Amino acid sequence: MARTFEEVAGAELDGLWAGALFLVAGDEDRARRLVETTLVRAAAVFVCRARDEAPGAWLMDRMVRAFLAEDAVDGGSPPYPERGRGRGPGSSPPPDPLHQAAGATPPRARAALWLVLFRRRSYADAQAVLGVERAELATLVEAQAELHRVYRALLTAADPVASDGRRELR
Amino acid sequence: MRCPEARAILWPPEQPRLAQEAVLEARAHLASCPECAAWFRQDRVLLDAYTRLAAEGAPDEVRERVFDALARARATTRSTHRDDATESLPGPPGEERPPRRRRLAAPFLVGSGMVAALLAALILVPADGTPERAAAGEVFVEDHLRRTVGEEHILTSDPAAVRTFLARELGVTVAVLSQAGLELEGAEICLLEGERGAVIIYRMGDARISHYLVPRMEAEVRAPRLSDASSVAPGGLLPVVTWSSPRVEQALVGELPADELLRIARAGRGDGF
Repeated sequence: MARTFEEVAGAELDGLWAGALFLVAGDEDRARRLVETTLVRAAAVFVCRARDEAPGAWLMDRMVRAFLAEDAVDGGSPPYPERGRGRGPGSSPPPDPLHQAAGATPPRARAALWLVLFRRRSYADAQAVLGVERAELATLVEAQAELHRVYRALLTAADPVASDGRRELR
Repeated sequence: MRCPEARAILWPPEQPRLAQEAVLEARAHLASCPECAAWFRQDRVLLDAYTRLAAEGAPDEVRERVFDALARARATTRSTHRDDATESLPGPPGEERPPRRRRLAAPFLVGSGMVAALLAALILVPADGTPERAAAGEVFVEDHLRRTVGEEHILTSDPAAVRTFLARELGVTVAVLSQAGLELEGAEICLLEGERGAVIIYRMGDARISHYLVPRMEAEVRAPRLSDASSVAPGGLLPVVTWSSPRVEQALVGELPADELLRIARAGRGDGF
């Protein structure tokens, strides 16, 4: 049975939102704009998609490209510590440590990490989406070590006891 | 074998793979390389953290705003490209699809189709009575599109289910009429003058009532009033009450006395329509 674009978008929205938050290091406004832009543009060309292509992966690929294109134009959002300055007592809470840690990695590495680490895409898939060779992709995903280091440091700073409790996971 | 090569060959780690020479070599490398072992452990910690965050899902506000943007884009696109008929694709092989909603019974569809046709006729027939769009063939294209686009229906008396259906399909949040004696029967997507809208079906006693909603970028706010078009209905038996909230054009059509229909619309408007 055929699916309308709205059905596909509805089914994939949670995954896109989670990915967008990671890509933009927890900036909810920017994540919403990224998801919105991705879906509106995708809706316009949905008819052209190959019939055997997984629409979820297709949308995610488009979101990564939209993110990198946006970042190339305006430099993207500053990392979390810069963005968090001037927060008032009534402002929204800071992003999750994982999203904050994402802000410590370069945008292209973040995109590679999202595709490879979190979406479990193959290296070949990720190469195609990012338009890079295997060696460059391998270099990009090396940022996992930095992501993990900052994430652990943020967890420890936020809750030393809980963080110690998680130490066995390392 | 170097670390990046071994990691690429063994990626993703949970995936079973044939014990080919390269795989065996990569595994041997992993067993003797503390950096690679740490790398795969880090992967598990980060993946767990991401999975926990992803499980929260998109907030309702984000969902509504995104679908609102889609609906606006659709409205803009439709004015120049009426190509909805092809905007669908089959799910890829093996991919699980969300469960389909129940389809409305044929008599229900025929009845609601007649009401939709009536409302469309009220819109289409100009003051001098010349069915211009019909003559130009647009109405037939529109009906073809409406059928091809695969109308979605939901048959339920649960207002929350209808709200969710409309939010997902139209990108707007609407309240369902809730008045004594008014029973919710279901909702379906419709296409009126190229605009994607919805009709919520109610029953009051033996009378069937259709509540039409068509999202607009900006709609002039109007109070409910009995439409002059009511008189062109066959036998004048189906009154039409129209009104508009800031972003949704609305109409109520039903087999009820005009003043009763007007009362329902006004009460519903007080509920936030």
